[in-house]
Amino acid sequence: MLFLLLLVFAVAISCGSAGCELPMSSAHHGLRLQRVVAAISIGALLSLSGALLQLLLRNPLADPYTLGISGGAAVGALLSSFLLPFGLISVGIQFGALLGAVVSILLLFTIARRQLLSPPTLLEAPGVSLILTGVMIAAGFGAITSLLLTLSSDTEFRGALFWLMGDLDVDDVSYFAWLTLALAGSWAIWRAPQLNLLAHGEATAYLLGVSVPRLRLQAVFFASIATAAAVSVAGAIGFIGLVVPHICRLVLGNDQRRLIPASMLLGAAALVLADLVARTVVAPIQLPVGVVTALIGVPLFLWILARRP
Amino acid sequence: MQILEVSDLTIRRGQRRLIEALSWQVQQGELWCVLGRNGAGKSSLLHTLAGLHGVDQGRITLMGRALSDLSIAALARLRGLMPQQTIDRFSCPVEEAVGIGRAPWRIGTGWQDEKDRSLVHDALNQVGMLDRLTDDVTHLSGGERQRVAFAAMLAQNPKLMLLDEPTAHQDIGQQLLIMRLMRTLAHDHAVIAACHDLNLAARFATHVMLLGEGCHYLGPAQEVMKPDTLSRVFGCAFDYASEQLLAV
Repeated sequence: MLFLLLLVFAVAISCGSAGCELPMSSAHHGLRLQRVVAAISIGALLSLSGALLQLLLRNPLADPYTLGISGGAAVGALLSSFLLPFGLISVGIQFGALLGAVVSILLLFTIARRQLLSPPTLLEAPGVSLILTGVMIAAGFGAITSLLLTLSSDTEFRGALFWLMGDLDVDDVSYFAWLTLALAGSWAIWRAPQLNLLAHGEATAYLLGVSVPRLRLQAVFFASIATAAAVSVAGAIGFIGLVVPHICRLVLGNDQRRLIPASMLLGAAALVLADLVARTVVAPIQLPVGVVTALIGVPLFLWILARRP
Repeated sequence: MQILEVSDLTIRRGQRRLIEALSWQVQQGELWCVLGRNGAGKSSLLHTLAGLHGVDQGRITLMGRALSDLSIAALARLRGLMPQQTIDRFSCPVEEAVGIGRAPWRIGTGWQDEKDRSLVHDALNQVGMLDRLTDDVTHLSGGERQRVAFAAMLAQNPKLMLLDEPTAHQDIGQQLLIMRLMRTLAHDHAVIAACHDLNLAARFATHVMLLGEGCHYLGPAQEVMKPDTLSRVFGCAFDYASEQLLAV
């Protein structure tokens, strides 16, 4: 798997919208490397967040955007791109998106405080009210996003649309995404044995010695910041966080000690590959990478769904 | 050896008082069957003993220490609860679903070792499911899933075993197997099971608790299970019957 990942990276760096080249010319090479480095961290972040939320909500169909974090990020990004002067835009969008994501995380934790801290019960559906809260937060921010889009000019609209679809056109190294990935990833791998028990239900995990409210709170927190970091760099890239953990679970089973690292690796490879397709398939035009992940992700997901017993 | 001591315990659900001023001691070697009408508080009692609900009033002592003083990790080694039903949201092989019972005893990364594996196999063997080791739990029948949950508790091996209707989804042969297994387990554990089958309880339990409306009766099985007490609890008539067909 690691080998596959390295192969994908090598191809992605050497191929661009101007065709594949070996030996690589250094100018293109540098730009592509930056994109690939960003894609690795973001693919891994989204898959990690998806894997954690699917487990926590005990719902294999949850994804990083289930809790409404991308909605806040979208509003933040749009607001900053409309309000800030042109020169500051690319940094401003990232910062605005991050701020928006943080606002929606705070909103989620405030509204769902009771559910997040409640003691474990044998009654099913601890996740349902959390999901509904997330859906409502997403709907609220979605309305604001639509409002902002209707008020925007044509050029602003086009830029905003690219962002909303998810776009990897980054122009600096994504330190923040990598830092978040390191934090959230090492937490998840460290806690994997306890997360394994949580997969069997909150009460079961509690009966077997897991401090459930604390683990639940931490899992939501790390999944949220992983999503926030990914979204603030590259917009709301869909389907990676939903499909990748799902495929890994089908192949490897639901043991988080394997599933979490595998999801991060496969997520990174999948996004690099999707970005490669987005850059090259209708070159010289570049597609937003979110369009590619959705076009591949939708049929793939429907196929998985049809196979479910 | 005294394993569980309950003093002056009251359990409320909303406005209703399910159990009032319960004082109770459970020793190693005892198999208690908790009997009562639907909604009498059997499950609530087991959940409270397991620490899933806080105690509003009264005191529960497990192995000489107050339940509220024990850490979650310490509790996991002392008591186990098999819930009335287990809902699986993810596929998982039977061996893994039983293996989670070893978690409280595992230190470090949580990978199973040989000893864990042999304990898991032994537990599955005791509930007659060893041949289903690699089956997916989501494909099991209700009764089979319950026996896998029972095996998980055997692998956990806590001193106090709480079982919520362990015979509910079992055929008659499996009911007898489970009652015998609980009786054997009671030699070096204390076993408390919520039951609905009075005949099974009368045959296998050493002790019985009857939960009625705001009252309870407890003691050795033969002393408690008298026709007039049972009628008061269940609201229907009881009599001894002979020459009826019985599984043995």
